[in-house]
Formats: sequence, structure tokens, C-alpha cells
Amino acid sequence: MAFYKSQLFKNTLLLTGFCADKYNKDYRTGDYDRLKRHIIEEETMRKNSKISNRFRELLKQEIQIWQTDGVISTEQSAVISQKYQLDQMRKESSHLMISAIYIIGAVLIGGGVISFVAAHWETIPVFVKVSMIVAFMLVGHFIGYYLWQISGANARLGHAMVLLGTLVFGANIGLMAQIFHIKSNFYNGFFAWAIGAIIMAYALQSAPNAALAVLVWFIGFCGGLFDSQEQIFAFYPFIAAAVFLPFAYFNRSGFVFAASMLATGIAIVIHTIEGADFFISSGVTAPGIALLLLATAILLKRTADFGAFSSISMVIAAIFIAFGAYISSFHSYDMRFTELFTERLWLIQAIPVYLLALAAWLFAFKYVLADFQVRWISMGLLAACVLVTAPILITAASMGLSDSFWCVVSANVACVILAATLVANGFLLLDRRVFWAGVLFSALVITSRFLEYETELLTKAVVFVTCGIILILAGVGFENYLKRRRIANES
Amino acid sequence: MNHKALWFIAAIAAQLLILAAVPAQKIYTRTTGKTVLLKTAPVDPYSIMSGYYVTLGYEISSPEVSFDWRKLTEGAPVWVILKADSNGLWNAVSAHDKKPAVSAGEVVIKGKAQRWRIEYGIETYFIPEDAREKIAQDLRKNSRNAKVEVKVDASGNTAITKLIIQDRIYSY
Repeated sequence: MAFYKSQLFKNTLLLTGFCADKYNKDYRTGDYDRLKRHIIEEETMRKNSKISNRFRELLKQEIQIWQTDGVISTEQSAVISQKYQLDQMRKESSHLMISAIYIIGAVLIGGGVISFVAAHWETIPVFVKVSMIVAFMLVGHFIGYYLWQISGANARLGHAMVLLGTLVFGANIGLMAQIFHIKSNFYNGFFAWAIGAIIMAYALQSAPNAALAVLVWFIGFCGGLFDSQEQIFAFYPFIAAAVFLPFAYFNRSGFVFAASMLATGIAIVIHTIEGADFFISSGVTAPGIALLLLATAILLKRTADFGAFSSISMVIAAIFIAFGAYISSFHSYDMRFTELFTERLWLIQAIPVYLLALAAWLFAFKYVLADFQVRWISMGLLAACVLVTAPILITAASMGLSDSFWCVVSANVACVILAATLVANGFLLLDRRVFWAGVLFSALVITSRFLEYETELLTKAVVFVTCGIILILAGVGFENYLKRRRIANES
Repeated sequence: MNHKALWFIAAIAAQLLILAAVPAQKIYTRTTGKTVLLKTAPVDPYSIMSGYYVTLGYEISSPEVSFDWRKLTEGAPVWVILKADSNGLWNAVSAHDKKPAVSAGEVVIKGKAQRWRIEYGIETYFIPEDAREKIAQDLRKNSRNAKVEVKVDASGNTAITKLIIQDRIYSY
């Protein structure tokens, strides 16, 4: 019983965000019995979801036979039925079908109403039009809030309706512009939508609203970059990070954390591509972001509450350094090094990123050697970052006097190191995904090199066949290793 | 529960405020602005209908005045003084890069210099679906005879109120 009151449990609940809604009421009112029943029910449901419905149907039939044959007693039959929730099955499926019919009906009615309104749009006076669309949004919000927070009857539907309200809010921005004949830059509308969404997210601690805000902001940012070249855009990713990350912190939402880091990181890289040369900016900015995220991952691992965020941060860091290393490994004859230290917009973004990374590493450095798992992967990623960025910066600092040759060589070495790190960590952590990430990344790099440079077809054939064989052998070898470790662990 | 309800109401209020801010300028201009009649000029026919709106061009979009607004950086503000002629149509008298003082019978309109034309924010008029084809055709045939009624407020901001082609009035 004490477990359910513990901080760890509370944080686990909050981490699951959406799913924890229905527990909130019980948790707050202190109805621990009900809470316990809910948890057990949820546990059983989750276990059952791995077992197919087909299996449960068959089991239900078989139990009857076993009982009549005397293989199992009546009590045992009851226990098995209870464990696999065999009686609940039919209720669930019919419930599902009725829900589907309701939803289709609702969508049809909604579509009809929308068509009717659209057909007579011009005859409706402005005031009525505005009232209609605002009412639609408010209905979504209020009904959703009622279902979610007040009655708790159908919490998930309620939360979904609040999200629908925010979506209608976005549509309303566009409709208001149309009603009043405003043709502004479309990214303004998206930014306004993002602001409205994130306010709602903070108010109701709603992760889906926050995720919507991140997505909409990102679309607005990218669209705005293509439309105009305003300087203020350089600051937007940092402002956005400052707005979205606290939400992830307060609500322990890993999803929003991942979304914000990805969105702001990609936004920074895209923006610097606009400013400075493509190869250089991806070779300097992306590793910079990766460095920052790596340090964040190391620091987060030390905290009690945000351990899950650590692996998210690590994965995103790996994505960014992989991108940076891969792009830089291409031999471009067109690199404009001299612009690097003079392009104002690029500097506005690159310098804060590196300053933050430096600050984070000052704290994180002493922990790198402490944790065994963290050590090798972070050293590998760190080495890759340095190998990609340093030559570019050195070349730029020497006024482009030296060739881009060493930058490219260094970037390729970084790719090899990165792939090796991932593969090694796949073995260390016994994680299939990390292993294959490393293998596929090295395959990508090798293929790119051979497509980039002109070699004879025979050489290509030999290389590709060799790579294919190595790939298959690597996979088989890894699986065998996993099996051996599993057997060793069990014995 | 009440705490959360308060935050919820605050969030709703914020969203409504944002929605209200969208047309705020236009509503102000429509209620307090002075009515001005402008003559349209032909626009590139391929872009006359794009989605749900018609693109309008005006004679004052590229006014022939002494001030060389074409030299201004893209997006820079430019103020144009309009004066009514005998037909009730308003024509450009002069252009300035800072807001000029207006005498009686004149109206100043604010625009953005865009290389070969000035944009005043009245180049888009949203048309409902069934009238689209009709109006677009009408506009194309009578591009020399069309007039647009616009409201201009004291700061030079604009809002379209009517589209008048020969004698037909389209108001949305």
C-alpha cells in the first residue's frame, strides 16, 4: 500500500501523461482502494494486449472441454477465466463496434453541418459567422473539460475533445482571416495557433496540446523561413525551447521533451543552412546541438525523476551527430569557409548553442567516467563531434587557406567512429536497435562513398557483395551473442 | 478542482483574445475609416483566382509620382496621399517615406513597397464558392471598369468593403 503513495509511483504516473488521467481523481481524493483496483486492472489489460483476442477465444472454448473432460476443476476454470478476462471479451468487442458506429454517425452529421454552412456562407452575416465558429470551439473545450475533469466519466474522450477544441481554434484563426479579408503571411497564423495551444497545455497539464503546439510552431517556422528572411527568426528556436521545455519538466512528459528538442534542433540547423553554406553549417551546428544534448543526457541520468529523458536526449544527440557527420563526409568543392565567422545570422544561433554546450559539459564531465554504460557511448559521440567540427573551424580560422580535404577525411573518420560506437554499445547494452543503427549507418556511409567516387564497376560489385555478406554475418553473430548472454543470465 | 478550472478559463480567454486580435485592425478601420473609391488595374490573369480569393490590383499600386518609391528596400513602408477627382475616384497625388500631414479633402494610405508595386493590404478579396467563377470572369472582362470601395482610417490602414464592376456590387 505504501508504494502507491511513494514519489516514484507518482512520477511514473505523471510520465505516462495521457494514460494517468483517470487515476488523478482517485489519487487526489485518496481513494487508494479504487486506485489499487485500477492499477491491477490496467496491468492485466496490458498483459492481455500481448495475447491476441483469437487466443482468448480459443482458450474460452478449450476450457469448456477441459472442464467436461475433468482435466481441470470448476474453480481452476474460474481462475483461468478471471486471469485472462475471458468474460469481458465479448463486451469489449461489441463496445468497440458500437463506438465505431457512433463515431461514423457523428462524422457524417458533422460533415453535413459543415457542408450546409459552407453552401450558405456568404448569406450569413459576419456576426453570426464569427459566433458560430467561436461557439464550435468553445463547445469542444467545455464539453471536453466537463467529461475530463468534472465528471470523469469518459476522461479520454474529454481530453480528446479539449484537443479538438484547440484544433478548431487553429481553423478559426484561418477563418477569421478569411471573413475579414486579411491575407497575412501564413506563418503568423501558425505562431498564434501555437501560442493558444501551449497556453491550454500549461493550464490543463495536457501533453497532447503541448505536442500540437510544438508541431504547429515548427510548421510555422519552416514556412516562415521560405516566405521571408526576417532576422528575428534566428531567435525563435531559443524562445520556443524556453517555452516548451518547462512544460516537459513540470509534467514529466518525455514525448513533449523529445518533440521540443527535435523541433528546435532541426529548426536551428535549417535556419543556419539558410544563412551559411549547407555543408559547413550542418557540419558545425548539428554537432554543436549533439554536444549539448549529450551533456544533457549525462546530467539527466543523475536525476531521480528524469532518467527516462536521458535516453531520449542521447538518441536525439546521436541523430544530430549522424546527420552532421554524414553531410560533412561528402567532398564538396564549393565550401565557403570565409563566411563562417562573418555571417551574422548564423552566429546568433551557433554561439549560444556552443556556449550552452560548454556550460553543460563543465558539469557533466566528471560524470562521464563514473557510469560505465554512459562512458563509452558518450566518449564515442564526443569524439565524432570533435572530428567533424574542429577541422571546419580550423580551416575557417585560417582564412580558408587550407583545403577542405582534411575536413572531409576527418568527417569520414567520425562516421566510422560513430558507427563503431553504436555497434559496440549494441553489444554492451544487449540492445538490438542500437546495434542495427550502427550497422545501417555504416552501410549508408559506405554506399554513399562508393556512389560518390568514380570507381570501376568491378570494384563496386566486390565491395557491395562483401558488405552484404558482412551485414548478414553481423546480424547472425549479434543474435547468437544475445542468445548466449540470455542463457548465461538464466543459468 | 477550482484551481484548475480557473486556469482553464484563463486559457480559453487567451485563445479568444488571440482570435479577436486577428481582425481587430480591420474592424477598427471599417468602423472609423473614411470611404474611398479606387479604380482597379489589371493583374496577371493567371493569379487572378487562387483558391478562394481574387487578387486585385489598383492604379495606385504603381502610382506615377515624383517620389521614387521603387528604390526603397523591399517591405519598407510608404505613405501615399490620395485625392478625389471629379468622378469620385481617388488618385495618388504624392508618395512619402514618412507619414505626411494631410490637408482637407485628402486621405493618406499606408503601403509596403515591393519593387514594382506597392501593397496596401487590399489586394485579396475572399469570394464564396458559387460566385467565384462568375466574379472572376466579370473582373477579367471589365478590368478597366471595376472599382473597389475601401475604408481608410487615420493611420492609413485599409479594409475592403465592396467590389463594384460596372453597376454590380459584390460585398462579402
